[in-house]
Amino acid sequence: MKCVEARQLLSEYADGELDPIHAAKLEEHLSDCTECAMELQLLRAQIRCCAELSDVKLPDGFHEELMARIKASTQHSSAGSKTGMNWFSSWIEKAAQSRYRAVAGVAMVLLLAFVLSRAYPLVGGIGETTKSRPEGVPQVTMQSAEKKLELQDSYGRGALQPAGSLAPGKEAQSQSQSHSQPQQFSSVNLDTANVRALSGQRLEISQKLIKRGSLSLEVPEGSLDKAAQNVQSIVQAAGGYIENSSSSSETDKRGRLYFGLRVPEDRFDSVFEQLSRIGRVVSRSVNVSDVTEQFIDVQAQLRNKETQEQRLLEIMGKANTVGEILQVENELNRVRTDIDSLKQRLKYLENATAMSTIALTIAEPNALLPVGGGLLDSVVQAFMRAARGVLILAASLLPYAAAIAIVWWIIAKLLGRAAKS
Amino acid sequence: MSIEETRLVELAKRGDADAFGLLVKDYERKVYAIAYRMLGDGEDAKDLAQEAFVRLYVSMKSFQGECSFSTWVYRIVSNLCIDRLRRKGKELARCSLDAPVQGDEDEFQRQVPDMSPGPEEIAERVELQEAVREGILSLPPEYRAMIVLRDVNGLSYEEIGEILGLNVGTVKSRLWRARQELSRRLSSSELLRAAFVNPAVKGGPADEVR
Repeated sequence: MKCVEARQLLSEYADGELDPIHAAKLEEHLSDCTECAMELQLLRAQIRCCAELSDVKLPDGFHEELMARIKASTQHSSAGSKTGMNWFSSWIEKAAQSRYRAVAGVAMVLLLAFVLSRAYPLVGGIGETTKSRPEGVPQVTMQSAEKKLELQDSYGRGALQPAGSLAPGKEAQSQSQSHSQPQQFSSVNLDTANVRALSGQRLEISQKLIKRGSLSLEVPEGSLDKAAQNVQSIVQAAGGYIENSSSSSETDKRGRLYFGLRVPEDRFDSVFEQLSRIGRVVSRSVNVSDVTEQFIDVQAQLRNKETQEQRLLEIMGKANTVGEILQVENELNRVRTDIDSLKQRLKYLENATAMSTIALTIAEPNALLPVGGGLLDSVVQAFMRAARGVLILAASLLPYAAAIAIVWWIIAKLLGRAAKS
Repeated sequence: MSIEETRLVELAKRGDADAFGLLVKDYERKVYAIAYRMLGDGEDAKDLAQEAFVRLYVSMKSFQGECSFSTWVYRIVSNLCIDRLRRKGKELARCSLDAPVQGDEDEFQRQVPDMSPGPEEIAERVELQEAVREGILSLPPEYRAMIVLRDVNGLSYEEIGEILGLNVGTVKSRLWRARQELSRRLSSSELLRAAFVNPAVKGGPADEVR
């Protein structure tokens, strides 16, 4: 690859968007060409610098100002398109501002005079119209006042809108209530179906059991490795695995192996039997707890919560106000948290019931304790035990004995000197 | 797009100002940031960002969901910025260099107290940032949009393509040219080299940049 080609690819490469084939070629080039490598470094530095510019503080009052602007723009458009009266008043306003102000004023007065002269002879019922149209200039202000009122009106309507839009929300609610009638009906059916399904499930899975066994074995000296191999092959043949293992050897050279085994629940008994045959059984215990009820309970809860979530999502789809959305969102979050914890519980139960646990200990017999000895053995044993005790006692007294000896020696010297003099 | 946002968009389409207000809250910072980095002046940016939102509100009904809402928002603000820059470019082709410098003093003062390292380092960092900032503002509008959307705001190639109506191939090549152009304007990257390749170098070559 030439430098010119490489430079073209650097930009894409720095973004991690370059396809693997080109990327590999480019990397090969970069390992040879220090200049291009430097170029890449600089490009990355430049990009980092740009990214640092992303934090821009919003000016104070931005949101409020913007929302006011949006409100104003909508009012303007709704007021503008409202009626001919508004168009008329805006025309008047425009006219009032323009340089034809004088002409417009004269025209207005003439128009007024005409209207008044026509209206006056008629009965007082039309007094309202006459009232609203006094002189030329005041009329304009009246008009704009009227317009303001209208604006307020539309504003008020805008403010009312959420309240008004509550109605469809209620409608939706009652709708869902009326829906719930057949839903309940069907839910009864569902329940029986559920029960049937559940009992079927119960029959099918019979029982959910958590089995824990512990087994302690003794094998002839020197055959620990062979025993370990045996354990491994037995567990593997059953489709299980060794979760953990450790070994220790005690001070008396007695070797010991510990295993944490996991085997499929249905193979538990046979594996336990096979393991027992590896050596002499020192102790064994099996603990079985039935979690079938728990299992079904958690499953049912989970299904309930999931339906609830579904329903909330439907409601979210029908929500009409921001308040409703936020409320549903809260509820949704809660239900989802519940679902998560239930799922975790179920996962634990499934894992614990699917794979049983066996704690296995294999030890060599104590070399100092040959099995089935006679009287002589017992005597030797007792002597050895006593000797051991004495030795330990002597060892623990040794530091004190040393201190006492030193003090004794000093006193004896002093006494000897005194006797000499 | 989350379900909440979808719902808010639906409500806003029906003219619910509160719902639109919440959408604004989600996007105003980003929109303002794009406008600010594109135009380089706080007042202009504020004005343009607000105009973008007003347009958004008015044309809310025409949003059919053919792209994600965020893409749509960014498209409106980017196009407004590019339009304004082109118009401005025609009006005052020469004076535009002075305008950003005015805004700089403002930002310069605001950023100094925020940084914790020693004074010399601060000076260098600020100088570097200033240089990059000015470099971006000296780019032609199309290149500027590339750098602002990708390098400053970290949008993906696909998003940028949708926002500016370009295919991804064009985005790649234009971004490459924009970056080259920017690094050329950073005066042969002297400043970058000093700051990143060898951080110990003191006495930032600020004069070389201008």
